[in-house]
Order: sequence, then C-alpha cells, then structure tokens
Amino acid sequence: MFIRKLTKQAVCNLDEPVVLTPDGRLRGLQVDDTYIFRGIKYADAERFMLPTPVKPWEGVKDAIIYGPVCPEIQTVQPDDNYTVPHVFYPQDEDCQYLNVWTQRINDPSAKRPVLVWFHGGGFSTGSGIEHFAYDGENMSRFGDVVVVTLNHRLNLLGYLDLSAYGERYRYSGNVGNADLVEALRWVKRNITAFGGDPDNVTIFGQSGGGGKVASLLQTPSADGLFHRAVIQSGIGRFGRKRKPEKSMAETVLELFRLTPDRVQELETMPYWRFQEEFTKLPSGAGMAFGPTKDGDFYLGDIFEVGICAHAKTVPVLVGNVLGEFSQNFVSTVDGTEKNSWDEEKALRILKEKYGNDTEEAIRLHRAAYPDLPVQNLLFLDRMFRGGTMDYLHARAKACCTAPTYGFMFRMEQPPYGGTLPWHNAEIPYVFHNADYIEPSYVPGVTEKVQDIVCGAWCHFAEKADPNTVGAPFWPPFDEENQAMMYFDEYSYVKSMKAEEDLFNFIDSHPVEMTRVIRQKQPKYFGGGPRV
Amino acid sequence: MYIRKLTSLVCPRVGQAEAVTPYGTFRGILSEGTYVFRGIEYAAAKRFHAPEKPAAFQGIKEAIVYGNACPEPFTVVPHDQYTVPHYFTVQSQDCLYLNIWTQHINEPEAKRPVMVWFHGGGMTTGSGVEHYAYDGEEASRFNDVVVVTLNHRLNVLGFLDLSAYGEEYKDSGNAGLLDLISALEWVRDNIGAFGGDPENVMIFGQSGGGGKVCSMLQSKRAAGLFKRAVLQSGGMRRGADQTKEQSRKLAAYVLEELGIVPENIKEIETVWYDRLSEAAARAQARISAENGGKRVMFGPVVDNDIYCGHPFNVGFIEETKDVAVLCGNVYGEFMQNFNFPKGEGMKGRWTEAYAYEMVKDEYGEKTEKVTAAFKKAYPERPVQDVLFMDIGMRNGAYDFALLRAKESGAPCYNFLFNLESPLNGGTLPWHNAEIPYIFHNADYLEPSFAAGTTGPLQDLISRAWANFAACGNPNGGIVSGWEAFTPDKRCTMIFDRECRMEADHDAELRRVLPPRQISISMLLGKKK
Repeated sequence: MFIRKLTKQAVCNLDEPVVLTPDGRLRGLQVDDTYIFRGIKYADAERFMLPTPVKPWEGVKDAIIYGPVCPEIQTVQPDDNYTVPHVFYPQDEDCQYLNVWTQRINDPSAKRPVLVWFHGGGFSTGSGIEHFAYDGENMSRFGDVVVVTLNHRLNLLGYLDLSAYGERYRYSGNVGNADLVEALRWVKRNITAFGGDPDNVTIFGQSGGGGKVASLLQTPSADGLFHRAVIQSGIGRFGRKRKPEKSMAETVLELFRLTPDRVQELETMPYWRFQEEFTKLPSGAGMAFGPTKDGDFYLGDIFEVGICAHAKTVPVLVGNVLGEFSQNFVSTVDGTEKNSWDEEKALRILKEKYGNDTEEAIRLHRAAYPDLPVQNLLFLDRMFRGGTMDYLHARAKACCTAPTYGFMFRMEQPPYGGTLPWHNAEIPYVFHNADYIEPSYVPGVTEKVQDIVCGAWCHFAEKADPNTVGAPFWPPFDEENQAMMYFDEYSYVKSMKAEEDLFNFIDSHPVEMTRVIRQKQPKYFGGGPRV
Repeated sequence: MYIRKLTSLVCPRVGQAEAVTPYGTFRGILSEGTYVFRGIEYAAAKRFHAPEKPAAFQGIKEAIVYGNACPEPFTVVPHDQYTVPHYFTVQSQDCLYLNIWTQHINEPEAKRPVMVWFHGGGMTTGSGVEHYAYDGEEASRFNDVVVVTLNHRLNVLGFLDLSAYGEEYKDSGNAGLLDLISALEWVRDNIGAFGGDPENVMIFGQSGGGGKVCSMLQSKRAAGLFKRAVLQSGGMRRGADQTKEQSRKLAAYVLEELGIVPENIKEIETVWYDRLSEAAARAQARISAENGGKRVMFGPVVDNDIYCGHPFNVGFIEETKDVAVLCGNVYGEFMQNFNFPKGEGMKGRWTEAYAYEMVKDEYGEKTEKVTAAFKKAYPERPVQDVLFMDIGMRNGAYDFALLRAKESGAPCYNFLFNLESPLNGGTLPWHNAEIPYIFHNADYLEPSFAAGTTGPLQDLISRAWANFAACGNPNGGIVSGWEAFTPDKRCTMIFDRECRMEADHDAELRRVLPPRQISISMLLGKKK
C-alpha cells in the first residue's frame, strides 16, 4: 500500500533501483523488498487519434510518482466513497501511464506471471489508482507475481465515434481501448526487465474494467498480447437493452452548435468546455461511453456477434458479488441494522417490497442460499448476476477450447453489523489489501479469505487454473454441472442452478431502495482535480 | 491514516461514535480507540457571500466521508509528489467541511486541547486532507488531543473583492478568511461534544496555512476564538498585502475579462468556474504587467477588521496580543523539494573538491565567508549542504519571532526542523517535511521515514506541539529545555537526530548568506 506503517528504510536513490528496459532506464523504489515503479509512460497520443509507442530515451527516467489520469466529464464525490475509498488524482489528457509492482528486476530468467488490471468507472471515469484497493504491492508479494495497473483515455476522449466525419477519425470511437492494446504491447516488450513473463499475461478488471476485458477478448489487435482473462462484475443484462436514438457524436456537435465540416474544432476545445456543456444533458450522459463495434478494431459484444475464434482459446474467470449496487448506497433501513431484525420485521419489510410474491422470493432465496437470512432479499444484486450467468452459458455452449470458471463473492462485509458485498467489495480481496480498507476488514476472517481469493487469481494467472490451497476443488463451468465457486468465510463450490432461478426472479421484480446521500453533490459543478 | 493496516474492526455501527452537538447528532467511526468524524459541514456559503451557520437537523448524520475541497485554478501532479504525498479529493464550491479526530465524545468534562489545522497551498490550492500527513488520528491518540482539519474557499472564490458592486459582496475579498473564522466559531460552539475545550484552541498551519494563521492573528473578528498560534514555514515573509485599491481594481479587471457590466453583477455568481478562473488569471496578468511584472495573488485584503495587514507592515494588533506563538521552518524548504537544483548526482557522494567547486560556483568571492559561517552554525554538516539551505524562510521566521517577542508579552517560541531524509542518499528537509512529524505520521510516509530516528523524534515533536496547545509552552514530559525566544535571548530549538537548543546559532550565516532564488514555475506541474 502507498500508506502503511514502515519498519524498514525505503530505498529510493538516483541509481537504485533502476531497471534497464529496451527503450531506456527507469528508476523506481524498493519498499519492504517489493520494487515499485509508478507513472511509466507507455504511449503518446493526439486527441481522437490512435496512440503511438513511447520513444527511447537517454539517461534515467524517474518512475516514482503516479502519472496523471484521464480527464472526466464529471468528477463528483461518490456516495460510496466510504465503502469504496477512492483516490482522486490530477487529470490531464496526457494520461497513458502505468505502474508496476514486482519482486524481481533485471532478472530475465524470473518469468513471473503478469497481471494487468483494467480499472472500472464504466468507460468514462476512473484510473489505475482510483481505488486504494488497486495498489499492487501486497498482491505482488503474496503471489510473487508482477502487477500492472494503468490509466488510459476515457469518455469522449477515448470513445467518441467521429468516423462519420472523416477518415482521420476512423478509430476515434475506440482509441480508449487502443490505449489498452498499446499498454499490452508495452508489457510484451518491456515486462521481462521487471521479472515478468511476456508470454503469460492475464488481463483482469472489474465493472467497466470487466467490460474492457470482455471487449479486448473481441479485439483482433489484442490477440496474443494476453493469455488469460478475468471479468469481475463486468457483464450486465442492462447493457444489451440500451439503444440511444442519437449518436454521441451528433449530441456533442449539437451541444457546440458545430456543423459537420467544423468537427476538427473538437480537437482543440479546452476540456472544461465539454464538462460545461454536458451539464445541459440529462445527468449520467457523461457516463454513456463505450467501445464502438466497427467490425474492424472491435468486433462487438458476444451476445450480439458471438464469441470470436481467438477468445475461445483464452481461459476466462468470470463472476460478481452478492450485493453489487443494491448495497453501495444503503447503510441502514429505518435507522436500524438489517441483522438486528427479527423474522417478523424482516417479513414485514419484504412484503412491502415483494407483495404477494414474498413467499416465492423466500422459497427461491432459501434454495439458493439456505444459510443466509431472508432479509438479504432486499439487498441482492440487480445488475450483474444475470449477466455473469448468461456469459457462462454462452462460453459453455460455444465449444471453447479453454476453460471458463465462475465465481460469486458473497462474504458479508462489516459496516453496520453486516452489509452484503457491494459493487467493488471483492477488489480488496483480489489485491490482498482487504486488511487495509476500513469497511472490508474483519479480524481473523479477512486474512483467510484474501489468501484464498488472491491465491486463486494468482494461480489462475500462473496456470490457467484457479485452484488454490485452502479452498475446495473448483472445476471449470460446464452446462451439466454449472459449478460455481462461492467465496465466503467458508468458501464452497456448488451448482448455480438454484441461484439462477433466484436471480431471474429478482430481475423481474424491481424493488426500489432508499439511497443514502453521504455528501452533498455539487449544485454547481466545479470539476474534480484537473488541469 | 485513512488507509493503513488494520488489526480490529473499524466501521460505523448504529449507536456507536455518535456525537450529540447543538446542530444534531453526527455518527463517525471508532478507529482503534480514536473517534473519527469526516466531512462535517461547518458553514454554507453562496459564491462571494459570507458563510452562514449550517442548519440544525433531526436524526443522525453520517460523518464518514471527507467533504469536497475548494476548486483550484490548476490541479496538477506536483513535482514533489514523492516527497510530499498528496491526497487529492473532489472539488466543489460546496466545500466548507471539517474533520475531527478525538479520544472522547459526549463527555463535557474531558476538555482536551483542540488543534485546528490550516492547510497550505498558498491561498490558492489545497485542502484539509491534501497531504496524507494531515491525518489527525495518530496525533490525537498519542497526545490525547482533539485534531481538526478543514477545507475553505480559496483563490478567486475566496478573495475576489466585489465590495464595489453591492452590500451583499461587502466582505467577498476576505470570504476565504471568513470561512476560517466560521470554522473556529463552529469549533467554539460544538467541540465540547467531541471532548474538546472550546476555551483552549490552537490554530496551526504550514506554508499558506502559516499565512492563514498569521491572518487570524491580524483579524479583529477572529480574536478570542483561539489562544495559541503556530506558524510553520509560512506567513512570516514580507509579502505585499492586498490593498483595498488593488483588490477592487483586480475585481474590475475580472469583470471586464468576463464581459460582465456592474448592473449584471449577479451573473458572476453562476459563471462556470473554469471560465471565472481563466478570467481571474488574465486579470492578474494585467495588473502584474502594470506593476512592472510583480505577481499579484488572490489573498487577504486589508480592511482593518477581518484583516488588518501583515505584522511586518503594521505591527501586531492589540486584540490578539495575549496569544502564545510558536513559529519556525525547515532547513531546506524549496531548495530540496525538487531533487537537486545544484550540481550533479547525489550530494552525499560528492567529493570534497566537487562540493567546494559547487559552493564557489554559487557564492563566488563570498565563498570563504559563507563556508566559515556555515561551519559555525552547522558544524555537523558537509560544506555542500549550504547550497540546500533556505535562508530566506529562516530569516522570516527569526524576524517574525523577534517582532512578536518585542510587541507581545505572551510566550513566543522558535524552531528549525533539520532532519536529513535518507532519500537519494541524503536529502535535507524539504518544504512540508516537518508536517508528518507534527502529526505523528512520519513512520507511514516512505520519504519521511528514517529507520531508528523517526519514532522517537516524532514522539518528541508531536508532543511539543500538543503541550503548546495545552498550555502555551512546548515543554513537558518528554520535551524539555526549550526556552522561549525573547529579544534578549533568541532561542531556537533545532530538531535533528540529536535535538539541540541554541541562541542565535546562525547569526553570522544569516548575515552573509544571500538567499538563493527558486522559480515559482518549479512549484507547478510535472510535464514529462
């Protein structure tokens, strides 16, 4: 972690630790024997254009400070900044930077597995250091792996499809993903110097990051640059329903009253002008970006175009968490903690929400989670479980040659005497950082669970098999057994069939939850840390 | 720390860490014995208007997330982000929030000293959580004190003097200071619920935060809200105060740049912040050009009420003369934040000959005088270290202490933080380097941590600050032998591996050493 109690002198000198990469020398630091390199530039790019690799340099470049992150249309205080502690960082269009944590440098024989993290925030916000949980030090140390996190272009800088306005903008709808591909090319070329194996690269990501992993599986130029893929809470059923009437490019031109022949003015528009104009659109418009299916750079979503041939050869780990967004903005109901309710109270509140279907809901819940209290029905995920299951079925039916593994993270989190794992709650466990994060830490339990979760990820990266010490046998998913790993204080493997019935029911019964507003949102938007 | 290795449950529960204040009940977090409250709204303000007291509320408010910080004209990755790890948070004009760390709640008899921190960043940038080092938990626990940090209005939002355009904007030129005052009023009215003694409040700040402390010392409106004041590397240099004439002119230029005529003055309240900020920058440049290139910054305006002018210009005001003052700075300041502004490679590995060459390159024919004076003041340091000393800031701290000692009967203390960091084979304390020691956080920060030294030294320094907060005297317990700075005996406590108290140890050096110049552009931005 960036902030942790030190007992040993950190090493940071002009001449050590220094790695020799094919393009030049980089100076990082060594903390508790882990080597850390922050803010390595991996590409350059003009606005809306494809990235180009960095040019070789003379002398030693510093890699001790994180690089700037991509500007965001809207940087607001998230209401779940408590459950998901964020790092907000200065924003700049010059944002193609990555960070490396490793146990070895300048040792070409080390060949340790490499895990490259794609951050969440849809395709519109976030960064490779946006959550404290993303810090790679503890994962690198625990699994003796090389961890990479990165920033890339987002929102209209990364995904505004202007191709209708000129050949120059042919890839503008995908340059954000092109940055990811360029980062993977950097890894391929340079990671040996950091003790990594360029032929054993895992991409993993959560939420939007999971979406990025899913889209790179359908991106021909990324083929061969990575060898395993992990999708955490990244597949929703919702995404398949969204069909905007007007393209984002048309919307943006209209906002600025630009005729198509003046589209190039967008190339030099100060970024804050986009922020200012977007406030005229319905809230959330600044989040509505994603890769562009062009049949060239990006082939499209698997539910639309099928799983592409190369993706079938890549082992995939896919799953999500029990509460997701149904728990990010809820703390207490009626000022009480859910686990303090007796059955009567639980039933009364359930009836308010599920009416005549309450009994059916309870029956399905008992079948899926016999050991969990029924009031959890109020806080179950409504966005990602269905998508995860659809994705598993699709992989199983597509005759993939590589295995697919499914998981559910269901460990109850400690705030307010028990909160179902919210969207992002598994990340501190994956990174072996959960003992550093207030809302995630349960003494005596967290240590055990994060060894297993982080261990599974590291094993999957190393051997394409997530089976790890201390956890039950976890077979690949197939239509017959539908095996699913359920991570909890006592993890278990079970068929997901009963759970699928439950979540199909949940998806067809919308329930409104009270949202907690922890911090006043800007009445007048002042932006985030930015240039 | 917001993030650090945990050994026990640290999360909110119903019925736990609920402080009952006159405004309502705040629920915080109990973190290993320390109560933590984040993001308490202490006032509310419309743009360019005076802050108003927050509304009382029913039920319980969660105070578990830091509040927004004031928007900044530029937020870049600072060159010294490694030596001074920053935590940037979300910016919004809705930014009047404070954070509290305490060992006691709902215990009116606890009456612990209260330390209110003003962050740095000039009067332009920063927030109460901008440095990881600002976290108050460790200092509160180690010293059993109440620590408060806060955000307030800065730059054009805090200091644009629109008084010529209507009564409602009467104090807009000092809105940023009014925020600080309203925060101190909030502390007076509420801190009892958090175990604090409203009668025993210390304000402390570093760099711009020192400037803010100085402004409070020179504010008739703030008088009585605090009993002790600590200035660290700020507020002690002969800066130009903003006169009413200049601040009104600056405002007129800003309006011109925005194309707002006085009849439509209301429009300035809703102009997009970046637009306002860019107009402000152009207006500043215009005035600077008219003044022959002298920089004009947004900052306190002399109105003889909210702000009476810097003591070097007008002397200390009567109303705060009973306030005990502790002031000082660090050895290197800006000479050390950005690696090596002089010479090649790591200074610790320079040969004696090369070191001498570098010193000579800087001081020419004064070299012999300078090196002799330096040896006398700092016999333990190699000669090249003279190149990395900020004599300007030291002179300011010295002169400030002297003026205060002469004009006020209240105690006055002076310090110099002089601990070399192991970074880059030896880096003298940079601007901000003492902060982790004050807050007892130096063992959490990579570049600040010196194995074997940091532990005892941060115990000592943070206890000295807490002692001073408690009784206006830094001595007590593990701290001893620190004499007050008086006109007759000008004592300085030098914090280092071995601490020592000296009177005028560097008198000769201060006389012969010309200040080195450092460009302001070095402070801004890291463009690779």
